[in-house]
Amino acid sequence: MKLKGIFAAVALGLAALNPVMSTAGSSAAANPVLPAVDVATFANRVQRDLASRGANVAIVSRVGRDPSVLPDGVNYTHVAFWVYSRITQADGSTGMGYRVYNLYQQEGDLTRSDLVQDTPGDFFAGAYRLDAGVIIPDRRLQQKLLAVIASPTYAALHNANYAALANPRSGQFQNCTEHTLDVLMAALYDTNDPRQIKANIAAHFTPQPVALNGLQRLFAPAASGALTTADHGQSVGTATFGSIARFMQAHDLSDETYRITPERLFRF
Amino acid sequence: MHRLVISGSVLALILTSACASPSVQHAAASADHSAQATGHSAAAAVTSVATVSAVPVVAAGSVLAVTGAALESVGTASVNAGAEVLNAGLGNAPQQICVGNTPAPCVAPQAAPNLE
Repeated sequence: MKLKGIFAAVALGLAALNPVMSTAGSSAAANPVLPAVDVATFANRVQRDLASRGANVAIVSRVGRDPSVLPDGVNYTHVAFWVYSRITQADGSTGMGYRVYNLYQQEGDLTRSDLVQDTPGDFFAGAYRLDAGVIIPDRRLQQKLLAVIASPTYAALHNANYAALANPRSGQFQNCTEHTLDVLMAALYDTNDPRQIKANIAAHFTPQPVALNGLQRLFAPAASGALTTADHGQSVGTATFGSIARFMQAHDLSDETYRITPERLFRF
Repeated sequence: MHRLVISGSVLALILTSACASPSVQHAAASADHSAQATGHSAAAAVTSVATVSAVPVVAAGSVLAVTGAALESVGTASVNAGAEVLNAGLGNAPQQICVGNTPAPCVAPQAAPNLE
């Protein structure tokens, strides 16, 4: 009877987590599989749009889960750098376009991550819907970002210990958005010192607050270690596309910030 | 007990889309949409060849061109785990910066960022 009560409490806690943990991205039930041709067309629309604006480096985000079930202030679930590159394929064909520099969770262990390059098409494959948030940094910052991305600092700033709600002020865990933020700070301050980067993030970057109660925080790691909030204090806040966009706008670091869909383009 | 298992399973699937690789997202989708996912995989697998190099370009001017090999559709990497992706580096976790729950910086912050 006692054991049954414990199970019931745990189940209740896990069920209560569902709306909050949707910040982690798209659930299977809410994640339609988009036609490959539509994904390819949209991926090319985004990279042509970036190219037409002369963007060498952009910060691009995707919608991995139904936004209606995401916490307030969270609209996108994955963020990466898109870098204009000369690309050579295995068949010898060459061309100009964008490569995507991702931090991805490992397939076999969601508490670990890898840095992975892929294509714009891969970036949007599996998205909940074709909708991208885009930040084009100031041209001077693009050059700084390019220098960091092409240097050992890019990989050195990777922390493979993954948490969906990683605290950007701490180096204990990291997710894709936090790695993007760390690289951004490395470029801005011309440093590869993670302690200096975290100090500057703590001083100048405002994370997106995520409302979690004690029960939710208690039971989250029971479902998966990637749901830990052990790196947070009393309140939980994480780096998001929106919080990075606000930070960059506040300090005049971006040329353009917008949302692009297959049909339209919206200014934020 | 049954509720616990169901809740845990749902959460595990939800997790797969945060910073998820395409194959992870497809795996998650296929859990509940197996028929759709299978169809998508079949369609996706027919396109794209592996990228062997991608060199960042510092280009001047307001308009860049997207040409040739860069006009990639959804590649096989989207469905075949790890088939095509280039690993940019498996960085080791940096040294612990701020131990425990303390978000406070361990070194003094610099001035607010300014590109001027």
